[in-house]
Amino acid sequence: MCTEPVTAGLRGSLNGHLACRNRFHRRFAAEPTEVRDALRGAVARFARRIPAEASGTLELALAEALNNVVEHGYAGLTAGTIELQLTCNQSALSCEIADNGHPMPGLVPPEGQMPPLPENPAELPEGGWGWSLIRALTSSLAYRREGGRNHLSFKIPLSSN
Amino acid sequence: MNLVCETAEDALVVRVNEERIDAAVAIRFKDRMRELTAGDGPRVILDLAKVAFVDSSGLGAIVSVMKFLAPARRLELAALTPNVGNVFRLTRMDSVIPIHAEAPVPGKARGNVH
Repeated sequence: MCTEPVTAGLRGSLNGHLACRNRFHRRFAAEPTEVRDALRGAVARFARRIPAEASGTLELALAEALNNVVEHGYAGLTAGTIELQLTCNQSALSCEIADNGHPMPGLVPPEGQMPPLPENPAELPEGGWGWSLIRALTSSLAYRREGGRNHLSFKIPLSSN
Repeated sequence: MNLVCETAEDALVVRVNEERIDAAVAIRFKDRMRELTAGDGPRVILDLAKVAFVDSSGLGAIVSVMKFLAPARRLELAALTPNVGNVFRLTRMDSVIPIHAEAPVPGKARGNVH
């Protein structure tokens, strides 16, 4: 459940509307240090209002999705920007990630089965977990391509107390 | 990457004094581990007590370390924080890499660390 903090704190709110305390909105360059910073900011915004486990889930799901944009969305292009918007309500944290990079292949997010673990340790995968983690951690995963931009959205469910 | 080594029991213990093993540092982590584990000894134990966050890039780097140490040497992990443990569990990598609650302490007699 997303709870209101007791003390007033309207950081980042342009017009002082109370609803902004449950939102996070940032535009940043699609490169690893700025991704880290955005993750830090997003987690900090909601940390006192959601269970610790949900915080961990949020950070991991966002990291995987944002890393995908950096590595694949803008592959071969000059690094663009990413727009991240989060909204918290009682049942879930809604996340939307927008960028101007390549369209997602087939315009559909990958199925994301967890890579199988072979018998031979020398053949263990060193990657490919990104989409399976995103799918395992989120609900309502959706992608659309609109006006030359990618929009990926998903929800982090919040358990009720 | 701030990695500190010491020996304990029959293992080289590498304490990771970083909060994150993620996309930003995965390659640097792999390279540093290669330099630090150039010696012998059957076990390398990665002490992750200070690591609050590992993403799939970090996981990939850890697997890469496990693969270049094998087959002569075994990589093991210790002191996973809850979020990090979750990544290993979700990917089922916790069934592949031995995970201990704590890293061995130099000078202590070897007990049942499992």
